[in-house]
Amino acid sequence: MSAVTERYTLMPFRFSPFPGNRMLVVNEVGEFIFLDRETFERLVSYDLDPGSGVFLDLKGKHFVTDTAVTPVIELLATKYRTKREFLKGFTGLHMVVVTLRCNQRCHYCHASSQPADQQRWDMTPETAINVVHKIMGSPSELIKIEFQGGEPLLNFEVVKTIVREAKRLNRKKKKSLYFVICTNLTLIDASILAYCKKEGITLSSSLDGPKEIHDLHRVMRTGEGSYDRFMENLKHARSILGHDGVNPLMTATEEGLSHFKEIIDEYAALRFQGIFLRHVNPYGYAQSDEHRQSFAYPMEDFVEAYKKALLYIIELNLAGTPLVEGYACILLSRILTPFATGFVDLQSPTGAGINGVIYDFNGDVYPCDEARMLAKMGDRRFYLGNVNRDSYLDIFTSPVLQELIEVSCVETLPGCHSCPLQPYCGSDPVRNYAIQGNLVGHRPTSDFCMKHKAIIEFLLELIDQDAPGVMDVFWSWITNRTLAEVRGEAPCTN
Amino acid sequence: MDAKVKRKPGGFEVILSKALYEKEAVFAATYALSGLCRNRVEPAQAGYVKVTLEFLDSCTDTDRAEVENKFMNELIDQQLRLDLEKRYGAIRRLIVQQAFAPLDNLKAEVKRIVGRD
Amino acid sequence: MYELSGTASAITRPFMGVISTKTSAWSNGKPLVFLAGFPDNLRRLPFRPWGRRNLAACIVPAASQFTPPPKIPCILDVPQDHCADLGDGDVVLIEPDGRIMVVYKAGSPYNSILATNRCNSLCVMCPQPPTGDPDDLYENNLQLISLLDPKETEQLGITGGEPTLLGEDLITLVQTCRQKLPNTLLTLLTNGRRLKDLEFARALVKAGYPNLLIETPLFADNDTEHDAIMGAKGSFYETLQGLHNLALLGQPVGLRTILHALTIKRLTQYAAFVYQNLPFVFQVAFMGMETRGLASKNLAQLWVDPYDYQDQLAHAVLYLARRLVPVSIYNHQLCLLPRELWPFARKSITDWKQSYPPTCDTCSQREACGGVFGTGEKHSAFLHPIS
Repeated sequence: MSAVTERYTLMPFRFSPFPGNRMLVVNEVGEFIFLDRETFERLVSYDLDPGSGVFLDLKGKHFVTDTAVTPVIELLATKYRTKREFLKGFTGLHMVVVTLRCNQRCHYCHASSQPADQQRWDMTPETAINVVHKIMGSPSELIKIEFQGGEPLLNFEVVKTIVREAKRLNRKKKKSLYFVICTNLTLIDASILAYCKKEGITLSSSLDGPKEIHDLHRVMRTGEGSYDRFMENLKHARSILGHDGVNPLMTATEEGLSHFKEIIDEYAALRFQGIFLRHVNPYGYAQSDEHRQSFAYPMEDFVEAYKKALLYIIELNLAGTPLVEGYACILLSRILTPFATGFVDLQSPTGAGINGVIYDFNGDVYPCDEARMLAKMGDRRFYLGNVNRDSYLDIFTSPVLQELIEVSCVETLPGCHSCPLQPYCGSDPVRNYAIQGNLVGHRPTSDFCMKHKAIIEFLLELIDQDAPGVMDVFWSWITNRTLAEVRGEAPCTN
Repeated sequence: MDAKVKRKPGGFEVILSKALYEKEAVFAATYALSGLCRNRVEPAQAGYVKVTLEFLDSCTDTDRAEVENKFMNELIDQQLRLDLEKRYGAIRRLIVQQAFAPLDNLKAEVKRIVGRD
Repeated sequence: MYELSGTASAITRPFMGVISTKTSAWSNGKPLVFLAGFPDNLRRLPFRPWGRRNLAACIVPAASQFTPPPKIPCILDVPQDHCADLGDGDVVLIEPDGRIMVVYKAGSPYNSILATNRCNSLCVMCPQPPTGDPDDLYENNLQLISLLDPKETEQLGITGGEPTLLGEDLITLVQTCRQKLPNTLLTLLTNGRRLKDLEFARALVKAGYPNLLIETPLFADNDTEHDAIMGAKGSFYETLQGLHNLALLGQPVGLRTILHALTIKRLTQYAAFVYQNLPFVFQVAFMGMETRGLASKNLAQLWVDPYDYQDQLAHAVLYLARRLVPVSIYNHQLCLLPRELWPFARKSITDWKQSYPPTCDTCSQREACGGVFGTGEKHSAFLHPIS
């Protein structure tokens, strides 16, 4: 039990083999070091010389101590708490499905869009008010309300009701309130844009790539592509809301994988702030026989394409185009900074419910969109309650939620508990359930694990290789500054 | 002997000394390979345990050539993790506790658990 | 501290006063020390402007025609060129042996209150090794504060030795500054070890709010090296505890490190440690070593020519700058810094210690550069003018 007779005390860490015949060693708060095999053997055999450079390096990162133990534990405890700050506020992201109606019928849609004229799929104003009251019941100081659908603009009156009611309640609550509308942009008009500008609402949209790729799967209900209308409205929206008033996401399909460069070039040409290279979610329509081919591609293919894409994006940055890759940016913040990141999709315990929650058009509350999807297909396993019938506590202390939290702490999950990438990763029990049949999931056959492991290791390799300019680019993303500012070539306007 | 490997068509068997490899380590290593193989863990002769690994259909030829190595390395790493956990597992728990429910006298608790403060 | 001297007359005990060169100065109840010689032709002091109780003393330059009033304490025969360094608003401490100590220089950004000469550490490069304190040091400091002009005193340091050794007296000192000088920025230099006591830290922060900055030395990312440099076992973790207490209390705190043989080799690891464990600091100052006192005694063990450690310094500075941790470089000559580090260099050498060797005469950056330590024994072999 005690190592009093040894020259030094080992502090907790996790390790695994890393390219270059080394060990990747990571401490409890994500600080990492690469050790050659021999040094690692000597480390765990108490054979390192406490005066040596490598020992001091390990000591500086709290992997070992040969003097005091208590103050090291104090430091680690403070940093551990800091890394989990995302838990402090509880639910900050609130997604509201104001209607299931949509004028598009994208092939990979997992929101199961309904025909645009069927108003029974709209959220009623009464339900909307109750949704807002639940939202503002959250202890979080920062509230982000994301309007989703279908196509939220088809029920714009309820969008306005929610914004109005939220701001009214906020006069007393004084939280930081943000609104985003997730829209396909095809129904944008001058009055909607004027409203958004007045209320400080930003738009999120979808752009899968250049026309040939975007129009393959993002189609109108009438069958034709949506690209041209998207582009026209994008210009209009930007002219009113500002250049960064619209932020697009892309979804990678089989066809898009081999054209990542063209997709990135499209984003760069339109001078968007960033791109998020997203793997398609295998739910809803994506599972239909008609399109399965396009969406059932192996995760390995996505990872390979992602790696090439990231290198290309770094190249673009160094050549003067400041495009951020959103996914890498979040992971890099976890690897390189002592701070917490709020990213609902990859957290431990899962962000579902406790950091982000979704309210369906009829007031049903689910911990995440996947859960809502499952309910649509008949499995209401993750239903938390309804805003019209249940109280805030009923919903947010529901046994369903508690179970999700219990099974999603990576520290206790098989396959995760000894993985050194633990501090950077997370779990998705709803996804495990949907794809693998149980909440805990099976890591060796998990695409989710495979993807994150591969990408995190790739980023660690890039950090280790430290090719010229790469770290400058990464830090420009993490600190949200230009390359010149990071290099000290220009004064910081932050 | 600590580990004896017998190759079979479609897989291989490993006899492991229980004195060297604890149950948790054996199961953890077997679990790690369960994406590539069908696995079985059974008692063998006194003091030994037998792990049978049969390649799944999805296991490619490249994978098959590496599985044996992968398993043995994983086994050693998992056993090392168990050993290390015995040394610093209590410290880890102290860190988490101190982070969210700070102790009144951390120093005394550290001295008690680690043997030094 | 700058010092001049002359022949004392009618001085029985030490006292402080504010220099005035004008006979028409209002004293505001403060003891004035009249500096004769301005204007030259005033041979006799008209007694009327000040009551006897406000005129504390006269300072008479050598070869001056001035006749001081009878029975007023004087320092006579002070060398002319020394007197030229004195000006209105300066605060001096006059000793019976004829010494005039300039304890405050009006208009200078480098003024400090010397809280104590005692220290609880013994840094291997200490330029001013610890000694005992004169009996009246604390009272003198309180008086000094009352002699300062709250409208003219923009900033004031509190230094030592180790000021926290004063305990409650330090709290009182800081409180007095806040009360008497409500608009003065106070910078306390402390090794922070005693601030591991949260209640003491809390009292200090409260006393100084919102005008107090604290700057603390930290020399390594580990206690093995830091404690060896500090000459005090356990100081690393005590200081860290102090720093974290200050962060908890919302007190702005900055770090300092001194560049020499024991700190240069692992400077980037130090920077990494600061970022990971102390990201809240308002700056990290990389300081050139002042080669006197113990630094001079231990020179063989410590000296690295700044020219030779440019790369390590650049690496560590840019490491922090990338991570949005503000950096300053103190006590470095611009000719010894790569250009990319110039934006971080500050003119940090106290005015009366500043010196420019002859080679600086033709340097284009002389104005921007802080010069070298006049008090230092050793300088870089690579000082050169920049064209």
